[in-house]
Amino acid sequence: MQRQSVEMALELIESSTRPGTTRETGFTWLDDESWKDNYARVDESNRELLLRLGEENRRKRAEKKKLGLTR
Amino acid sequence: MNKTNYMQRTRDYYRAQGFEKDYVWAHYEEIPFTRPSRPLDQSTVTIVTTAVADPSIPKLMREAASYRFDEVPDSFDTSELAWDRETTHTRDRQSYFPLEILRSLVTEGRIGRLAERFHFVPTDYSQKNTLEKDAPRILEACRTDQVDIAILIPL
Repeated sequence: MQRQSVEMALELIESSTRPGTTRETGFTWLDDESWKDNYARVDESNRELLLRLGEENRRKRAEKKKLGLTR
Repeated sequence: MNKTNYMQRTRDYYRAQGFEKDYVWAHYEEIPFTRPSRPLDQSTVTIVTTAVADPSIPKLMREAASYRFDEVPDSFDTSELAWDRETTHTRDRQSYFPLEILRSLVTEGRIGRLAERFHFVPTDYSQKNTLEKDAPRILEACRTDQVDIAILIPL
């Protein structure tokens, strides 16, 4: 599958005639698509946790900025 | 197959974390486009990856960097990147950095050769950093290495 993906990418480069051309590989991650529901899931079970993680994230970034640990 | 409503869900996810401004995705009204200048079997190919080759540099300080293909780490650091940790893993380097596949395509004559270096581009929320610093640096390195095709594999 990895080799096919690379070959398809190269074929796309060879054959594209205009920008924004995409091609789906047709590969599926799993037969069961339930993993898609987990992407960026927000519901009552994690709402408080997400808010806390966001606050922690902002605090840490501000600290690092203060220490000059940014670009 | 059900599509994942990626952009809206990403917006909602960051809002839920208390970020006030929605992320604005980079986009072009007109996308630059060029056809490859030579056939694949005469082309020099490289990889641009977001997987971290040098995790000793703190996340917020990382800048675009080029590394020799003969010094590719056995595994990259992917711990600070966003991917589905419940469903998959990144222990198989080839699944996101197809070095062995490209080498065999060179041997088979499908592509001309592999460039001397591959390139790291940091996952940076600053489009200014990406557009004005990282991308030009990688472009310059690719021109130095006479690269014809750069395959971007974000993780």
